[in-house]
Amino acid sequence: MGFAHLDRYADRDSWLTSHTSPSQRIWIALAAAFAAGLMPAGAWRALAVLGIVIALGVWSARLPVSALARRVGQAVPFFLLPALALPISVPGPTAFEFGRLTLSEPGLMRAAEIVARATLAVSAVAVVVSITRSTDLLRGLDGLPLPRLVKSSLSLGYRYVYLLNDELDRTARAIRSRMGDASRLRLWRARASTLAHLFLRAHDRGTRIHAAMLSRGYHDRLPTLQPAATVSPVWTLAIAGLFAVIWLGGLMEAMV
Amino acid sequence: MSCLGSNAAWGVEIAGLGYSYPGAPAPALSNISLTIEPGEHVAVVGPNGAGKSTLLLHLNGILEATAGSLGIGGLAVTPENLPEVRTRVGLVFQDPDDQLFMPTLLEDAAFGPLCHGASRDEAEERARRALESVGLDQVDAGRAAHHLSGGEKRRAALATVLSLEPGVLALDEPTESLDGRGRRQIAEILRARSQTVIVVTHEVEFAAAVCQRIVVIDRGILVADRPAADILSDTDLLLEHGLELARWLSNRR
Amino acid sequence: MEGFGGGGGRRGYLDTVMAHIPDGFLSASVSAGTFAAAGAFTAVAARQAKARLDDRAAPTLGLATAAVFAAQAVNFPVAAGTSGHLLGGTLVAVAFGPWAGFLIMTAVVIAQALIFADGGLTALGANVFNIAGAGALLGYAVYRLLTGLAGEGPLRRGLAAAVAAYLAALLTGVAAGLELGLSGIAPTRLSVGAMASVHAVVGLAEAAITGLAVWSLTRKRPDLLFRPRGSTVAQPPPAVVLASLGVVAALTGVLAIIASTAPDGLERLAIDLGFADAASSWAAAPLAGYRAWIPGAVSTVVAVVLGMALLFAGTAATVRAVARVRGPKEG
Repeated sequence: MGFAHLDRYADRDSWLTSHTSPSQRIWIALAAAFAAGLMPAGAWRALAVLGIVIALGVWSARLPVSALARRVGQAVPFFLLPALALPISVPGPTAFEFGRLTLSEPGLMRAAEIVARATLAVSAVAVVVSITRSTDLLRGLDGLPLPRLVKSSLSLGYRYVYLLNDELDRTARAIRSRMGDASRLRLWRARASTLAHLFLRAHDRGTRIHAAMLSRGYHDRLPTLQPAATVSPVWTLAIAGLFAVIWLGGLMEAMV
Repeated sequence: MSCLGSNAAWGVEIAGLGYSYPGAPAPALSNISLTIEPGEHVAVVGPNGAGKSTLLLHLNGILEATAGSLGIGGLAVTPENLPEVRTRVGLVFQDPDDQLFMPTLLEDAAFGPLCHGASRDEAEERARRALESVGLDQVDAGRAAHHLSGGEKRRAALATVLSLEPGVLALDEPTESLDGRGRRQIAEILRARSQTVIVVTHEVEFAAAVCQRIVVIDRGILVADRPAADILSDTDLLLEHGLELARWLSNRR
Repeated sequence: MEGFGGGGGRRGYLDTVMAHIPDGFLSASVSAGTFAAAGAFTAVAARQAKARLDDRAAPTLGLATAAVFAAQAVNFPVAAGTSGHLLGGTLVAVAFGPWAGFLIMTAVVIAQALIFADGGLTALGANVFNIAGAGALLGYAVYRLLTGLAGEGPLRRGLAAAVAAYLAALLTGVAAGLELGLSGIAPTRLSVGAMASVHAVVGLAEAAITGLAVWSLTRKRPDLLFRPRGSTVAQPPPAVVLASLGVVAALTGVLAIIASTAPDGLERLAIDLGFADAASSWAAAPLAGYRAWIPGAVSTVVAVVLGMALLFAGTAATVRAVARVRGPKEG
């Protein structure tokens, strides 16, 4: 499993990277994703404005559209598949009929809205994630209101998934080469045993890391170095505020 | 100013040390006595499973001895002294991946000083100095451990401990799975240290290259404690305790 | 052999698609309600895990999170050519304890939305609730009830974990369906039905893998599995365990019935209990112009919080009751 692609566009300088710090960018992504994802039904104009602003963001981040598309594309099935079920399942006046398949008007409408909202939300996050190094991204999480244990789990989880994944591959390969063509039952047992192995190794490594932490004076929390450069929050507040205004606009639009 | 070490070498006094893992039939260590002078470089060699790593884990109290006592520069290794002891003894673990758990090398190297109460500025300054002393530069400091080569990982792991400037440097198999060049780099770094250095290894030649004195441990018992050159030429002793020299591959048998 | 370890497809779709609610599906009020509930649970979980694991908490949870990341990259065939991957909530709860398991799954869900950018930030609260809450907390509760009844050998533990994982997966589906219904995406009866039936299938793979993995873990290193504080092998009488299982089942049933009549059902409950009025009048004050619109939204938030709280309080009470029965026997 390659995670190397995650940092491909992280070292480009752009207007966005020079006016916001990684942690500020996470807040911008959150603001955009919430404005898009929670846009009320029927607020098409607000959604369009949001789309323009996010497109400006892509441009100001100097992120190739193809890179963004790949990134967003990987998330598309997550919302597209469930959305496609709506025209068939939501009751209402029929819009199209293909043989036995009838697509309802409200179902189609809802599906279209969901796809638009989700695409915009995912794009906003994808832009920020693409132009921020994963190490900076993890450090940026420090600013979020999450329990320390969740933050350290994210950071350690990201650090060690590479290692565990290599070990998993090795175990799986060894088992596969031993098994030849085995019965279904044995196949499932082998899969489970591979997973059990994975968790055992994770546990043992956790114990060793704990010892390594202790011997360097660790007692309670993982200390962090503050990022060197501090960036004025003005732009972040302005951009996040803009997203909030657009969302409120959408709320008005939907209520009228 | 924090209470961190400043590279002043400490001596190590081990008297009658014994340890049994819970539930294990035989003790992992029994009656080990060893005195190491400040600034001395000592290697602990022995076959796999001899108890070498177990001994190391006692130096800064990760394991608590079931018999006997340990002292670092006259300070007893007891639960109430642990914070102080851990500034005096820097432990480098066998697998560098266990030692490099922070997102970047700089943060890994700053971890120790920060945990011991150094200010952010001091910790960063110490971290950068430590990374430099093992040949890792500014750019490397910002890298994540999983982007490093095996040799770089080893050196980075060493730096995470050097940033504490401990008086005793203890390393567990620092050359494991390194190529010749990586070995030489580690040996050069260790030879240049003015601190007390304790190296656990099963490679006798590497031990002799870094240390003046070699201690042989087998099945938890200290069986020899002599100058390195002496041990290196004692073929019977080496064979008896399952230790091999690389040059035997071409010369003997 | 499809996706056995490594290289191939990064994700199995069926599972992921169904279990994680993406962006764009939840209404603002359901999103807010689930965030509030998930936030409260996360805070409690952090305190509990810390109390239990002390300074081992960070490395233990961190490595377990890495293990779940790695495990989720392995695809298993589910049915009809589709593949899914392990969700893992019940598995980590059995191995590391319910609260630690909750935090591990929370980290996994957050990573998916934010670091791997698969979307779902607005549904983060709901997903934490459905996947970490149902998977780890409810899964563990059922597992404990069953091991109390059946005993603690590898096979028994494996079976208990399999049943627990299946029920947890089902509940993940029901909860997701409920949230979608309350958001007005589809009639609740439909969304709950659809999600529950999908998870009834996906849950089979989850159950098989979880059960086999727990069986394998118990045989290899039984010492590593999470042990409730102060518990020994002393077992409560079967009648107590059966009764408490009944309570959990009834609770699930009641919730399913409430859900199938929701949004009316839950909102009705919120209104009857007087929460909704109090909350809406407080919230509506500064926005007097929208008074007519706000009570509906607020009562949805209250309904979501209430429904989730009910489910968890009931399960927690049941487990606690069993633990109390177990307690005196040890004394």
